[in-house]
Amino acid sequence: MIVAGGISLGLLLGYALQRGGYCMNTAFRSFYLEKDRSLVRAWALVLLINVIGVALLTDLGVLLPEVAPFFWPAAIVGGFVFGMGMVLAGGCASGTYYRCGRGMLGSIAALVGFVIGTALIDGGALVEIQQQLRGTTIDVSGREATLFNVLGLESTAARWLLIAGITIPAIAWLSRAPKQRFLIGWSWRKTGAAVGVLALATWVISAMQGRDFGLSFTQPTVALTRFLVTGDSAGISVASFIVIGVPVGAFLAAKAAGEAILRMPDPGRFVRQFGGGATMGLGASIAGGCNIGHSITGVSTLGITAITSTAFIMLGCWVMTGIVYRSERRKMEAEVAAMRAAAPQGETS
Amino acid sequence: MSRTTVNRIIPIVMAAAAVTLTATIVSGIVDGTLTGGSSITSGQSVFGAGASTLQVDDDLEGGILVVAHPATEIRVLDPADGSERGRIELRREPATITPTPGGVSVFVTYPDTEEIEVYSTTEFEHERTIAPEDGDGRIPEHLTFSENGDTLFVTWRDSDAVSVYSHSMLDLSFRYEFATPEANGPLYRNRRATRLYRAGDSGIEIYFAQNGEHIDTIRLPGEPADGKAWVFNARRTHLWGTDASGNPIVVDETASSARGIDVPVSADLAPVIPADTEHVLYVDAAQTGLLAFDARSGNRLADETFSQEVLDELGGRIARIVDTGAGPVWAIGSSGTVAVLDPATLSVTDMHDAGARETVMAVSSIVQQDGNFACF
Repeated sequence: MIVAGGISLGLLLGYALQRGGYCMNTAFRSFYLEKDRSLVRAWALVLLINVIGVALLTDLGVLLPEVAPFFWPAAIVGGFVFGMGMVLAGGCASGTYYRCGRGMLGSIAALVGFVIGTALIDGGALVEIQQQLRGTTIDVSGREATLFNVLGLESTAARWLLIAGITIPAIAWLSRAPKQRFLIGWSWRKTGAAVGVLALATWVISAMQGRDFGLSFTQPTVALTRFLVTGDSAGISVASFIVIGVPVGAFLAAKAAGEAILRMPDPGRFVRQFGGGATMGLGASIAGGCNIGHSITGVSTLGITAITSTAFIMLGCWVMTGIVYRSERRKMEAEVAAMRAAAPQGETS
Repeated sequence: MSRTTVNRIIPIVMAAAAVTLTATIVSGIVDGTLTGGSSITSGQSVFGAGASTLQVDDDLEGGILVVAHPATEIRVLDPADGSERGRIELRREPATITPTPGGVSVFVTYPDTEEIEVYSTTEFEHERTIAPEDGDGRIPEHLTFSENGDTLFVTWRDSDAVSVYSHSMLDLSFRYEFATPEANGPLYRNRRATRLYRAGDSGIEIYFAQNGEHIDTIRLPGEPADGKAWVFNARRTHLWGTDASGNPIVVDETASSARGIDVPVSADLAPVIPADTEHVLYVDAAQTGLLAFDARSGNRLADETFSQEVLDELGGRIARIVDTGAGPVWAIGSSGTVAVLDPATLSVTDMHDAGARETVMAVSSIVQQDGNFACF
């Protein structure tokens, strides 16, 4: 039942990601380059649903969310590296998975790179980097590293006051959202609601397996790779079945919309996406999560490691976007200058 | 396949996925997997009077480990019917038996050596002898695994030190050691092994598991029962034990407070938290029945005094209670007979002879499971 539930959830999630074009690389980049905040709003809606939902499920005794220790050097370095990698890969971890389903061969290269990057760190040749960076932690009086415990909010009422203090301004911001200007698939509301509900459903069906964690892509990717390569099934969980279902669901969504076409980028971009994927894998394995494990699931628990990592994923994304943007602009200016130089006099005036 | 056909099939596939996902969640609610706790009703003794049947999860591979006379072997019993699955021959009488979280091995310590012997609970054979690094000849007193088994905490006899080891595939590598001059009992961890609890003269001492730093002392309302076992509830937020007067004590980790419950229980027997429930079971002071408390609130839920017929079968008193991990709870009598109990009603659903006799010195349940993964 858990296997069927996991694959079904993956199918639905892949469908929603593809229809909504939900990619956090695009969302974070929009802060920097674009004025459209639709995907950021979709992300905020996902968090809104999950912060409230996870707190409620915790109070009902269904969950005891697993929260990463505050290994701040790993969260900072890993998050920053992941953020830079996802710009080069042309999509975040979930974005890469769903784009594979719609036939983007560059994203398949990025996924292969992501698998290699995670394997290098998680038990691989570079594991020492992870161990060193995770060796330094900040203790929250022995309690789990969440905003609740940092602020000393132990009673149920105090915790819900904090949740209200976070979610009410978010609701106000979302309710004042202007009409979405660019709409190809689903609106941000529909996308955020669908991904949010499915992310919350992941918590629920994971709890049925004794796994007190929500949606994640990095650990299930590592576990699936290990299983496929060595036959070691340790680590295979409902999340592994979800990541199997995501590209299939995305394919079905793309097929229905007539968008499922094999696309090959130019060789330079193909190699860059592979390298970006590997960089993402390194970053995610150092930080203990990607844009899903940290930026949705971890933030939903108000884990300070996840919040820190997410901030540095954003920073890494912006820094690399700036580098790529300036590089592309220089290249374009050089091409224009070359064209002007090559054109007969008078045509360029 | 035409575009029209594809466009008809895809919504059906998605609807089927949605139905399957919903059915998965509903099944979790129906079978109790998703409930944080369940109500308990006052039980009735039904042995010999139309006994009800209790569902045993046959999918769970595992067993009940019993060390009894002769104390140089561990008997592995089937939780479903008490039949013997195998025997693990030990080299001599053990001090402690500690199953690994995956349930496929058991760590055995002895009263006169620092070495830990590891035995398979599936092949019933000796697997390995471990001489803990930095043990310095000390004798292990109590072993505690983290939830997924990647860490082992060891306390030592005649020492206030706690040694922390990384554990992987029966290999231990020393990480660090810290002193607990304030405490002396067995070590308990919370669910994520972020905090360690150890009883001392002043109460329950709390340590930060990452570096052994002493965090706090929780004063107990009564005199702690020296050396007696405590147990964390399934959600690992409340630690249950007994004071020297034989009253239950519950320590709330989330509030760092302890309170006593003025209901006499057998201070000689450790409380038991049945799997998948939020109840704590104690043997009553006369050792002729069980008491159930809500694991969080501490509210008394139900009592069950066994009928004379059951008590006669048990040999007059309850010698041990153990959660099988497969549904029922066993109350092992001094005669070696087992009363199989429904943890939700405390009613006796079956009885069988476990051959444990008076000399039960250790009992533990194992549930074999795939690697319990850590997300980080």
